[in-house]
Amino acid sequence: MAVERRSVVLLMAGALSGCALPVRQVALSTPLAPASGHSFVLAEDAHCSINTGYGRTLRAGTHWDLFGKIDRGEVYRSQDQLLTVEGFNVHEAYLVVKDESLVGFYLPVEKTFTPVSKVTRLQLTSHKE
Amino acid sequence: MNRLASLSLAAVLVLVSGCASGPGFKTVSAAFPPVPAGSARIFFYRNANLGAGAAVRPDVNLNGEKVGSAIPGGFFYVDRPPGDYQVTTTTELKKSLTFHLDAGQVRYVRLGLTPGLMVAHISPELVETQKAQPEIEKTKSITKS
Repeated sequence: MAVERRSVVLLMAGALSGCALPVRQVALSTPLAPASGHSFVLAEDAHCSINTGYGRTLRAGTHWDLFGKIDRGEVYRSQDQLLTVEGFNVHEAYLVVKDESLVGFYLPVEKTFTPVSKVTRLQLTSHKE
Repeated sequence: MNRLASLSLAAVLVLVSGCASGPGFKTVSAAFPPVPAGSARIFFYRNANLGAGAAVRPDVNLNGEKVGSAIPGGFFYVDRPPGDYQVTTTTELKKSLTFHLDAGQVRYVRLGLTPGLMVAHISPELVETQKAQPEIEKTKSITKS
């Protein structure tokens, strides 16, 4: 019982002191290759999360434009929805999509990739070239 | 009783002095110069709070350079060339925000108060324009210090 109480106290202390996990970042084998010309609109909300437990909802109706390509997939960003991923620090993030599924995020400042906890199929209303 | 009143007044003065006291955003926003050609603008703001943490007003750094202070209920802005930016504050816990800035872009960074073990921290957060606008309109101008 004393151990449990101590664990709870330590957890609360950790939470209060801001001991969040850092966002897991994976180096890219090759830098992002700029690209454009593709875009899509999300038909339905899509929920996603990363290793820190931080979750976001990609809103239905948001328009996403191709920004570049990395080894993990195509990178899209939007004027309709601002995306960040959060752990101990906060990073702006763009979507990484492969075969119409969200596989992770590209961090444009760090130039790294962070995977989503679960690959999520996206419902797209349009996808033009 | 007099002593209690004096203490209360002192507490109120401490809290009030910790808030931005310049003109309101709505008052001055019409006079903002346009974003210089080839540059972008970053607004920094902190919602007003007179409770715990109001006395915490750390420096705000952009790529390591001090650009202002996180004063409750205050805002300021800087114009910068396009590029990659990191925002940090000088609280004991150094949480950072990184984002990319395109030419002509206007971005909003909210300086949020988060509880800490000993003292509260200020955490920078990138906020969408439509969410930031109604919040920043309630703030007042603070000069760079």
